[in-house]
Amino acid sequence: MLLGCVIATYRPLLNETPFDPNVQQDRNLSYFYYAGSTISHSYDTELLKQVLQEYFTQNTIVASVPPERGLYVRVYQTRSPRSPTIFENLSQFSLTVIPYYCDAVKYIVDYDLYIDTVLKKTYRYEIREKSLNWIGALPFFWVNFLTNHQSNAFTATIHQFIRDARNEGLL
Amino acid sequence: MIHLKIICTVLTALTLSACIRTQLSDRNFPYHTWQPIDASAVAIGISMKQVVPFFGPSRIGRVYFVRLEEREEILKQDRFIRSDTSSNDYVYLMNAQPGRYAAVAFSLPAGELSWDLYLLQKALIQQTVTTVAPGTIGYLGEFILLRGLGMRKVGGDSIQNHYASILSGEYLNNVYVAELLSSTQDEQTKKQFLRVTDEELLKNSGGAWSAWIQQQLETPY
Repeated sequence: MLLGCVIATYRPLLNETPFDPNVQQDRNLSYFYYAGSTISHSYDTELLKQVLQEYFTQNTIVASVPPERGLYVRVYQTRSPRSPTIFENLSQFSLTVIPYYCDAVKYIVDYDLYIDTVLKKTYRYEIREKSLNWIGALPFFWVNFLTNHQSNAFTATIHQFIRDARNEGLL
Repeated sequence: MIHLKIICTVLTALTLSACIRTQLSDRNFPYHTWQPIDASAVAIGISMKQVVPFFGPSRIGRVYFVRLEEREEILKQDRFIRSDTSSNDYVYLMNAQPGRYAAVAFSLPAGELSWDLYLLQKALIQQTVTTVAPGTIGYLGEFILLRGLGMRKVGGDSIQNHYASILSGEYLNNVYVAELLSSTQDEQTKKQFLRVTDEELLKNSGGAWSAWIQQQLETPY
């Protein structure tokens, strides 16, 4: 029930970093995904594969080790280290009777790019959450269907990573 | 009056809809079978029990691992990996990359959305360090732990303080120091772990993992 007391939106937005067809490549890509602590682990795994396949049209496969030759990306998503504030603790203690507004980094996503088994660079992105935690928000839980979901923000970081690696000449 | 009833009904329906939550877990998918994603993928298991005074040991359901990658202080890694699943007395990380792993903390539920975190001391973390070769299943050992005092009261060693910070985003309630009561890391308990893993977790259908386990079980001590 407490989850229904939260109205949240996430950034980055997809329209800030959409799919760029100029970066599409007819190459293979192997990748691996660690979800340090996210809830939607299996969903994000599928999402990652779908988005990477848009860019690497030849073959995109999951692999636990980098191939001897070729591209490999290890994706690491974890909750951002953050100590709860006094207000957040009060809100939780009161079961969100006391409202609490949060605007903070929620997740960190690292993309380790390997070429021919050598780690070339790690790209780090933040997924930021703005949320209202309040029991009075329960009847308005449906607003969450209209806000930017965490998975869209995760997708936006994938697009940003591809673009940044391309701009640096690594892809 | 009718309009008021309609409004109340709609508001109630909306409120109740917010209370519905589908929780995806192994309990919802009892027939899920684990298989390696490729020939090199590994699995890691550990047995951890926390002793609660007057109640005896209780099984720990969530463990935090780190993959030890080269850095100045190897035990202070920046990335943690939460366990995937648990079965019988063991907690697992499935389909991980081969390499060296250690357990650094575990957590227990402390309410609807929060957890109490228990940080392992440096010496205990070092005991759990295990190299897991490609295509195998690593066993970090069996540990029985006692809940120590809260971190705010006693402070922790530098490794515990490091992971207290790294794990602070995990909806934590309280942070405790975990003290070791006993540990077992011999071949007998390892084989018991492998046997239970294959039968109970992999359901004897773990592909290359099951084949590897059978090979290990046939090997004499």
